[in-house]
Amino acid sequence: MRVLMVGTSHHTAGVEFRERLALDTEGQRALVEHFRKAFPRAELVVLSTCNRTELYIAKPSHGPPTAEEVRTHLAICRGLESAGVAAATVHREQEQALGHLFRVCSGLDSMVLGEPQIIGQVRRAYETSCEQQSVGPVLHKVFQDALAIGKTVRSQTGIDAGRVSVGSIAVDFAQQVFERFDDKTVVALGAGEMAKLTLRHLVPHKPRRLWLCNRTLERAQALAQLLGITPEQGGARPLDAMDQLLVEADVLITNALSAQPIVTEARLSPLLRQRRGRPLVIIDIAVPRNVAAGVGSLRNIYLYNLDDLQRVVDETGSSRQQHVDRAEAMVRDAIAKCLHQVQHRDVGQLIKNLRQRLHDVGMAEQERTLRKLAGAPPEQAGDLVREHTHRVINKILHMPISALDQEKGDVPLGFYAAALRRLFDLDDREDSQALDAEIADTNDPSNAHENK
Amino acid sequence: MHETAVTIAISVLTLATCAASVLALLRLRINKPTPNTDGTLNTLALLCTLGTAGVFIYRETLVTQGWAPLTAHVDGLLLIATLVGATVVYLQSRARLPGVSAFALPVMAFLLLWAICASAWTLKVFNIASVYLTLHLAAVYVGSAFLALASIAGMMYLVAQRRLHDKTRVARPGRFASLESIETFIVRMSTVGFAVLTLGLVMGLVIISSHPDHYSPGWWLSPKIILSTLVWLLYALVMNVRYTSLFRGKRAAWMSIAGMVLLIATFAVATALPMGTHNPDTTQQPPHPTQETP
Repeated sequence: MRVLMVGTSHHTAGVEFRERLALDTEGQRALVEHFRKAFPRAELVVLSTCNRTELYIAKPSHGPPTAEEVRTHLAICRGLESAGVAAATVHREQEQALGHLFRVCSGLDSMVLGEPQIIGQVRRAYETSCEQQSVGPVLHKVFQDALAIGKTVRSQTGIDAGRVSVGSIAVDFAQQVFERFDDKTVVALGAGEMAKLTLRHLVPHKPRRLWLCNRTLERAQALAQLLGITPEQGGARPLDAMDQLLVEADVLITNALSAQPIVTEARLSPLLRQRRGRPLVIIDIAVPRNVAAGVGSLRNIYLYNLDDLQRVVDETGSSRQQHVDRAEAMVRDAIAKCLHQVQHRDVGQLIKNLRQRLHDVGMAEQERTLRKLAGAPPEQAGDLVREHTHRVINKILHMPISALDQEKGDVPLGFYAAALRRLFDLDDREDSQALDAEIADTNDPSNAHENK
Repeated sequence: MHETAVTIAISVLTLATCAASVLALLRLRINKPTPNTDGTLNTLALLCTLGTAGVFIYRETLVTQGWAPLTAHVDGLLLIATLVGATVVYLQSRARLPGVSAFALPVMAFLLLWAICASAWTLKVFNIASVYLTLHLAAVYVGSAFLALASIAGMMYLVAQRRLHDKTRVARPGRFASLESIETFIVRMSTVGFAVLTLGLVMGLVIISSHPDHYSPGWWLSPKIILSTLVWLLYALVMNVRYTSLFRGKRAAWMSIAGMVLLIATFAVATALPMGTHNPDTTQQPPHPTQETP
């Protein structure tokens, strides 16, 4: 089996494209379902967060799907142009694919280095795929190892210490407009994980009012309770109260799951008069975005999205290079170990299949020989046994010898010859040395042209 | 001799303030200003302010041969420059309004440059005839200093807001104070400046009413009076922007800058026109010690 990753992240595409590729839970389920119908022998895990949409696939070594097929499938599921998806996505195979997943889990590939949210998001993606039974033995092993290394890196390096989180940067943005928050009203649209994290950074600044607005009021109430917001300080409000909240708000944090923008120019413009020119800072950490881009051009409105946060992270720079180096080393070791185990398991399955095939050949010949022996005189038994042995050997060797005769361009003949010599211990000393020289010659890229 | 010494001293201070301005502007361009840069800038700003204050005191004690503040326009400019410099030093030392020096020091350099002109080429000595005139001059110059600070904050607000909209240089190092802080500063400076300027204008009216024969009947239509009234009205609006929905934010910043431009125009008119020399009846007043005798 080969591991393949096809996807996009904040490194390869802007928020405009990421939000078009982003999948909610239902979208993920639908994608997995279609994928399984199209490629029943492949395993799949879909990871879709605000910063990335990535498909992890384990497929037969020479079977479908290819990276292009996955891209096409993704484009069809999202209703996008295949060319656009191809331009904004990358694919990684085997070691690189594992490396990517391990780096993602370790927070090394995150927008905010070492952020802890991603490990939970990967776990949820893995569990969702498990529920849909799209995960097989290879991806089970890969994801379990990835989650384990994510934990180990965080516990054994300082990569998550002193990090700049999305929440802290969001507060930092607001502080560039407002000097203090004890006379300000903060409104959070959506009660998701990111909203919770951002509000955790804002609550210590003691905003005068903090309103949580969500489709499901119970979720907003639960979050308000979790953040320790008293009724005097604010609480949960239904989505119907959004217009009123847009008038009251000084800081708006949006993280609602919505395919269409919730706050648009048309909605906010008529409310500006009621706001009496007060500045409004909007931190849109949702993908797809909850706030239309045009809102940022309204008077005294300051709009920031995830890409802007990324820019700040880049500007702030990282003083944690030592931790990063250590984490990278740990990830490299874990990749090598996992890949070895995956390949070892693959070889085990290969041996099992080989044994089964040889057993089938043996059984077929055994039946034939027994039938012949039953009606034959005893003096022919020796000939029949010799014939049986000859036929078994021929049948077993037919396929590999045919493959050797019909040398295909992708693998040099010397490779098969060397494998046969080594696997069946056919080398004498002199032959072995000549063979080693031949293999070295074959593997040398500078001689590849001459070999052809 | 004293006047020459004053002009040379102001020239040196202007150069030093220009150097400090360049350093302050460069500081804004540097991603991570070092403590050394900040220290040098603070020291330079302090030295410029102390130097300007020293020249002001030197003029009022030695040049006028006795304590007679505000005997010419150059004194007023030195007073404004000193107050602006002192405010910058205070704000920098308390880290109250990060980035203000990049805007305030060039303004201070401009005031000193103007003071060179006022000292070397356009020196007109005021004839301080009454306590009302002293109060009028003091109030107008001190008020102008506060309004200059408001306009400096206005410029800063515009640049800070542009950065926030462009989403450039929003990381912590080298960034400005929050927009709310800058707006608060604009409002406070405008309020104090407005109050002091009101006192100055009232004193001016008292002077005019006490010497009606010195002024032509249409004195209230003179450019100086009209410009002064406009400045007064503009700052009356700026100090109340928080109670209006129309003039908050960028518009308040622009108004504070426009007010300063009008104020400079008023000073130019007051210097250029006979009506505004603060010397309505020079023939009846004893000559100033520094005034050239024909």
